[in-house]
Amino acid sequence: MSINDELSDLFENIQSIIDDDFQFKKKLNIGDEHFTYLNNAKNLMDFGESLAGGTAIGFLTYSSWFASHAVAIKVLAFIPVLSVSPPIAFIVGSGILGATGFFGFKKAKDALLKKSENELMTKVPKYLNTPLDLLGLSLASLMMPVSVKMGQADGELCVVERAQILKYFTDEWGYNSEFIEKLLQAQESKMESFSYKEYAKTLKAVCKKTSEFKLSQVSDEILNFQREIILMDGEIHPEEEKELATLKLYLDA
Amino acid sequence: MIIQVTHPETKQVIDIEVDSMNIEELQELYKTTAPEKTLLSAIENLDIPAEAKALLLKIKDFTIQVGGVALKIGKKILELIIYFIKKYPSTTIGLIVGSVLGMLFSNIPVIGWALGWLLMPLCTALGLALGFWKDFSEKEIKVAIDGAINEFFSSFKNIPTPENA
Repeated sequence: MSINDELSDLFENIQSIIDDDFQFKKKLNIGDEHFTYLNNAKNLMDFGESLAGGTAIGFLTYSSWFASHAVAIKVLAFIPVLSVSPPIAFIVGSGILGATGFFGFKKAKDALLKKSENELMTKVPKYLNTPLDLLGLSLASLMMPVSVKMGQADGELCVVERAQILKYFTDEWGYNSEFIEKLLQAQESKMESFSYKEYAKTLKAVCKKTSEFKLSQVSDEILNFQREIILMDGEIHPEEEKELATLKLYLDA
Repeated sequence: MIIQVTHPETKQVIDIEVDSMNIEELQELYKTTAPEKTLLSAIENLDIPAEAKALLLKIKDFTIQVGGVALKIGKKILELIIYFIKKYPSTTIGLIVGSVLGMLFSNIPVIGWALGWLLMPLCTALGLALGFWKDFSEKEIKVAIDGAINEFFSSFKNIPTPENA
């Protein structure tokens, strides 16, 4: 087989979990100050604690999704860290969320303030330090389990809530719809292992590990996102309110 | 036959007269195997600094005109970089990127003339010393890269750049 044949084979099978990389980077909202944040995120890679019911699902879905395209190993070769240590995905995700301003890096806050001073322009970095799929997987691994959990609070994740979660990830973040669909399916079937207590514990551990994380801002962002989820079907059920309160309790504890 | 090369940075154009070349063969050799979106995605997914990604993508649109036909040399170089990264996943990505480009630019003068200016900033971004590939200890990779350079770029190996270039 010539190198050109091998190249054809390689590129025919490469899939990305981010279909719209511009949309994804834009949504990250990290402007031109991303280098520092992402380096901080990478410094966290030795952190060994994983998100209960979250990261493992994300990673397994990622592997099986790529396996369905017969290229798992080939593509994972581009993300050497991920192929060695799945829990890293969540940690990097936290860093990235921190970088977006969600999670309260001091500099992220400054960046947001700077942004509000100029509403006419949004800076979108052309390239990021961290592999884009690793960022995407990390973010999805962090957001999906708690979203599903909240959506299931009234008994089941209804069609509207499901569709809205998919829409959120694909339209707002630029994810590949097939990947998100698989991740959502995998997550739905594994929610018995999800625990708000463990979720909050992991987040707190991450915040403690890096002085730049502010737990109060982390908590606020997660709670705001979950409120959006439970409002997707047009009403807030008492069970959903209870779940939200439980999450808030653990995050505030 | 005339080979025309445009320097991507300075836009200087050089014409070099060479013996006849088989254009159809060259077109077949340089046919792109990766859709542009896929190639960009593969570069985006490399675990290297953003500055290095930006510099690498400056190579993408580099072409050499042979007898009026544009050969997509830049895309082929990027495809080869991705190929070697995939083939040697346990080797640091920066070392592979630097080795492919360093060995290519020093072996093929006309490509070195057009793209060599990228090497210094790229090595800096990747944390490598310029010229490291000469002492690169991974013999198997070195041989493989050398083989690929011969397979794809030997037609241009003996083409010197004009003195005024």
